Amino acid sequence: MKLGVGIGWRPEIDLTVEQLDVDFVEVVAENLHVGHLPESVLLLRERGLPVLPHAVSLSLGGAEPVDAARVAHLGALAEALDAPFVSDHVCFVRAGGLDSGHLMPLPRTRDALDVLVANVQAAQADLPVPLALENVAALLEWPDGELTEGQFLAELVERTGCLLLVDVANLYANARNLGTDVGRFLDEIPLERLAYVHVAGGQEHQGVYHDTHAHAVLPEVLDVLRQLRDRVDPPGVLLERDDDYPADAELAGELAAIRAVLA
Amino acid sequence: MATSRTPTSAGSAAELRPEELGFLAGGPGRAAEVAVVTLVEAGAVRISREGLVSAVQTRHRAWTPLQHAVLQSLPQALGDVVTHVARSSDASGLRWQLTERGLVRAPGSLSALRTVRRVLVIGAIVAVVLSIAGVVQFGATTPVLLSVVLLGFLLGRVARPLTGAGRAAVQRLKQAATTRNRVEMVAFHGLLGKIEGHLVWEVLGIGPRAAATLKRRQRGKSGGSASSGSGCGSCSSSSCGSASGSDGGSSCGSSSGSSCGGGCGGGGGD
Repeated sequence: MKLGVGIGWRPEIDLTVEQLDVDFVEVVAENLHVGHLPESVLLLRERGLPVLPHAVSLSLGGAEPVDAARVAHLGALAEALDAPFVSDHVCFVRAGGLDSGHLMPLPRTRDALDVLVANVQAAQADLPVPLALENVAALLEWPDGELTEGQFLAELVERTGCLLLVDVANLYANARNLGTDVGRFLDEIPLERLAYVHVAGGQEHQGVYHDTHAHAVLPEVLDVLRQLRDRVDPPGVLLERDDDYPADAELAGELAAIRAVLA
Repeated sequence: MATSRTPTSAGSAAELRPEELGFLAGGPGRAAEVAVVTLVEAGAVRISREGLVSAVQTRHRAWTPLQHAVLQSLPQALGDVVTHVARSSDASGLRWQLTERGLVRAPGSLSALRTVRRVLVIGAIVAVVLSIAGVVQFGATTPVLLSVVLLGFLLGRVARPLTGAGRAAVQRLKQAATTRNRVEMVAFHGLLGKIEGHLVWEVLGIGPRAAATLKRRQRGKSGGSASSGSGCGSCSSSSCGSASGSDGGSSCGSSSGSSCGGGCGGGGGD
């Protein structure tokens, strides 16, 4: 499905999003109630823009069973918005009754992959639309990894049939902080299963690059998008901005820069 | 550049900032509304469809204390921002500065004048009752009564929240408050007021859900700490009797079109 260029819909910038030249939007699933969808989101749907629910709390990589209520909410939102698919992350956010508040990376072991596959399959069984999964930005790598990140994702796709949501900003962050080989990552993942792409800004702090979603998109992140574009024409590319929202013109400029890379 | 805490020459109404004019026309709540709108006009804040006010990432600029108070309170619903800022020490500082400049009467003097006026009114009522009861003769009380009424009337004129200079500034604001001058329009009419048959928030492009977060400030009730209690009640009960309250606007905005533009200046609160 061709999506085009989109932006993350957020309550603070609802009117801005309505005015920007975008082809689709993404909403954070946990921030919406199916029975009380924001007027702005409904307006965008009326205009025919795809609205894609993006979850952050399924904790699909966790050792605990998937929370059925969270999956049900995501599914209900997909139906309410007539979304072609939904998404979450390749990570865990809860363990032992504690919520980390962060998207925690998984150990890239076969045992961890087995757990992830089982959870993804359980979620897929209860979702009315396909599920896309996103690579996360990590500040650490668990020891004794058996697979590269690309191999891990490729096998996940092969075993579950899920779609991929490639975040090039997360990939850039991992390349910078952990030494991930961008070219190898892009070569290893099944790009034919690509649902869409995330682009976001970040900032270096004390030698560590942070994927903040609160700063401008770096040219280096657009370079990663360009490397992906050299391999595949992505169905969609979405700009994520979650804080310190700039002026409308600046957001429009970032969207234009993304379009320029895709052209 | 003068700040709200920088006193200028007493009695001078020159170079009043929009927030100051808003304060004169509608009290601290109106001043807070003006601060929000000037920030929107400067591209420094956004108001969402649902009324969430949030800061726009911009280069640091020299904001007024009230604008700074707005920015510090974000993100927050529009109505809550106005309430918060109207009750802030910065709004109190604005009142103090306007008092220093001879545009607003000091709360203490206003309070004393009103107390004297109340005593006179009570005295007049007692005199009338005693006359009716036959305790004293009408002939003896009539001159006293007339004097009390005249004194009370004069005190009522003097006890208005704004000085003559303040009222004159509001009158000048009234002339400038057109739909073309958006900030002056807000300063005079308030976000919930009406201009040329349209609601001010509509003219500004603010959504109905956002406007619904604004709280109507009640007549006669002082709002936050910035208000001295000399709120719009003084307006409605004195020379402002002709003020229309039917415009759906905030309480102080309702004084528009009457001769009491300054009558609401001392209070309003929120």
